[in-house]
Amino acid sequence: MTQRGKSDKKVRLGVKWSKYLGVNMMSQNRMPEDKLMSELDYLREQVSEYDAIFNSSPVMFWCKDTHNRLLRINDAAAKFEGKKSQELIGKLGQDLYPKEQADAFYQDDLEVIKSGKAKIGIVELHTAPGSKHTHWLNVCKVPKLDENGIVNGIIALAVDISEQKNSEIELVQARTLLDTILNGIYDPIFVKDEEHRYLVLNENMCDMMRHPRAELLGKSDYDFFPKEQADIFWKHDDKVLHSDTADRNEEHFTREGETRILSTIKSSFINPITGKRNLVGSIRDITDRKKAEEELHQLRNYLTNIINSMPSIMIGVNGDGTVTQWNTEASRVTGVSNEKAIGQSLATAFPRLAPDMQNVYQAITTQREVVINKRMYQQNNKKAYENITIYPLVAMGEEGAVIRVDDVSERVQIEEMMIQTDKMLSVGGLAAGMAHEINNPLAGMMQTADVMTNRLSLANLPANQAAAEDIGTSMEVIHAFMEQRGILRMLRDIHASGERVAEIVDNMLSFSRKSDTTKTRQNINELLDNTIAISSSEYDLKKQYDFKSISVTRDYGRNIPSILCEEVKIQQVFLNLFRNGAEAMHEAGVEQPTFVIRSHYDAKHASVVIVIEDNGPGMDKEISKRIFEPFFTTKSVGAGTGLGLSVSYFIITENHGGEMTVESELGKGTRFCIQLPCDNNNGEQL
Amino acid sequence: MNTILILDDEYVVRQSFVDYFEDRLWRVVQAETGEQALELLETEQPEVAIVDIRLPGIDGDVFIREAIGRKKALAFVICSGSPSYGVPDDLQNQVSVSKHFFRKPVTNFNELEQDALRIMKKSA
Repeated sequence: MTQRGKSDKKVRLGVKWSKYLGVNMMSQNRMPEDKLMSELDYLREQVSEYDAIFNSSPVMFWCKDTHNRLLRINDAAAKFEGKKSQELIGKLGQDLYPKEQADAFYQDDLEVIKSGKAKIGIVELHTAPGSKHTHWLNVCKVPKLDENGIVNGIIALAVDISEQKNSEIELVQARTLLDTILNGIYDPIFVKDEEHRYLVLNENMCDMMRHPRAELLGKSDYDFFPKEQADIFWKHDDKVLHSDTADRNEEHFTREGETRILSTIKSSFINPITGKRNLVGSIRDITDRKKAEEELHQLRNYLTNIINSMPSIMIGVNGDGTVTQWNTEASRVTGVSNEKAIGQSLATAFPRLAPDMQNVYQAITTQREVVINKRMYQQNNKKAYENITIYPLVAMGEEGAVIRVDDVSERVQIEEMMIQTDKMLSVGGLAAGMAHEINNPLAGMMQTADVMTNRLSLANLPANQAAAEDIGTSMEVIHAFMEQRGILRMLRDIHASGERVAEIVDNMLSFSRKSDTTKTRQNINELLDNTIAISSSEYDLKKQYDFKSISVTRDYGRNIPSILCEEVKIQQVFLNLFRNGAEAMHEAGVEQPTFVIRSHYDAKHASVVIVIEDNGPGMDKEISKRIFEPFFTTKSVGAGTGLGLSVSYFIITENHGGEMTVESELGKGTRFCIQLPCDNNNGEQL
Repeated sequence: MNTILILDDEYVVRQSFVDYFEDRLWRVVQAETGEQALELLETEQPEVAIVDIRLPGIDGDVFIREAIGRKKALAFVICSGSPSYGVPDDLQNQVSVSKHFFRKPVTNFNELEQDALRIMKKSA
């Protein structure tokens, strides 16, 4: 039987039944019995058919009268209530359900009863009494009419739509969850279709676009961005839409004059509904991160620059002595590049510091800096000095240390010089106090010896002649005796020795900051010429050299400003250098002894530089280092006081605030260099 | 015969000057302090004096100023063992004071004598 046929039958049944019942009950007209019987049979057949349909239908049916009394209920409905239909028929709503629920149902019934209109699509939550399960029912209530068309109850049909309803709920829940998640994500997220139109946007995306979602959906970037910007977005979208590779891109996004850097990730997926390739993207504003990165980078550069600008060697090491920092000075001194040094052990990268690992450990364990001052080492066969400071690092959990190495060779040298100067000064102070005491007895000795010489040798001295005659001899005889016995020589020796003592006292007195003479403006070239002239006139048999045999090359600078100095003292310095050089060249038997004398103005240091160079025997480093020390002499005992150069040094550095250095190499001559400041009063003020 | 005054507190030194100048046929008078020398000038009229600076009592330069103040016709040559002394500024300009300052020990008596003669003539 087809659906169609069945429904036809139902319709017919309805008409026939009512008509028959009506006839039967309302009219006294009688039908012929056979016809009646056959109608009755037909009717029975129909009723049982109807009952079968009524009870086997999955759709729930029930009828109630106007008083909420259940008249009929099919099996499906009874089963739904967990009862048999017989148990239910005749019961009132309130007998079956809790009052509240029963009232709610009855309310619907009454509405239908009163209005006489069907109420369909009532979706209600229905809990069968005694059951824990709750079901969704889609109920349809239609008015039940009596033969006169008067409403005398309701007929209800209900379908259990729990499954559908639950799916719907799940869908809504899933959708809500998705929205919640999408909106809860800090990053803007969007989905675009194959035509680059927005399908999904989370709230942050809408915020970023500054449009409500409704305005954005279905639109593309060209509707919201300038063309150039949209072009870029479009291009990247395309890349993703036409392949299944993800696209990661940093885009600059300018709005209201502020440029933000956005990192977008786009990937594609096949839309299950349209079957087209769509894209899902998320955007992260990385401007702040970029800025922080840039700042970090700059800070790191800045720090590196600072460390590299240090004149000190700065080396970072970790707890096991591996190099972690290596500045430019470290590279310069060791010749090991930064790249090579980092990661190596300190001992490998800087062998000189290998023994200091002990100190590094000490600094780390005690958390106190370790300082080693003026440590000596050999460099190119020269003594050099360095200060080493090891600072423990207090980084989080990371133990290590920073080693700072400073070359203090120059300072040590200066300190040594200062000690020398101090020595000279104390000698000077001592001499000043002693000079008078020494000079007087010395004068007594020398002057007396001189008078003795006169009296023993001068034949034409009247007193001599008279005395000689008195004792019956002659000056000739006395002189002959004196010569023969070497008395006159001895007297000369007394005189010479006395002169040396006087010279020493004189020189020692030069080591004094007090100065008798005042400074005057002098032209250094003239002063040099004068001194050369004085030297040339010196021919001293005793000192055994002839200045005139030395050739002098002058190379004077022009326009040298005059300098304020003590003429006599500067002359003393020059004279001393000429004498020393001449003696040295003479002693060494230099064939063509030559002085080269240069002068020039050093604008940078505002000073006049005088260089006096000889081609004498020179000296080795050890001697040239000590040459300015008082009482240091290379001359044989008796030939020099050992004070000349230290006096010269003192005059230049202390009295005139200048500098005096020597350069020499054995066999290659000696060069003295004097630098005198043009605008000096320093010497006096010290 | 010229007369020379030797003013020096150190006996040996003074004596060496005395001996030298006597040999050179000077008439020599001597004093060991400035006060003595001034007293001496009351009775003696030396033409020139060799004057030590650092002395017990008044110093040599004080003596010179005093002598000049008393209008004595006397020339002076300063000779001192104290290197920090020089011819004082006010005496530099005095005609009767030699600008040449002699240091003790005097290594060349002849120079000293010549200077004495020169200043003596100059101031006369």
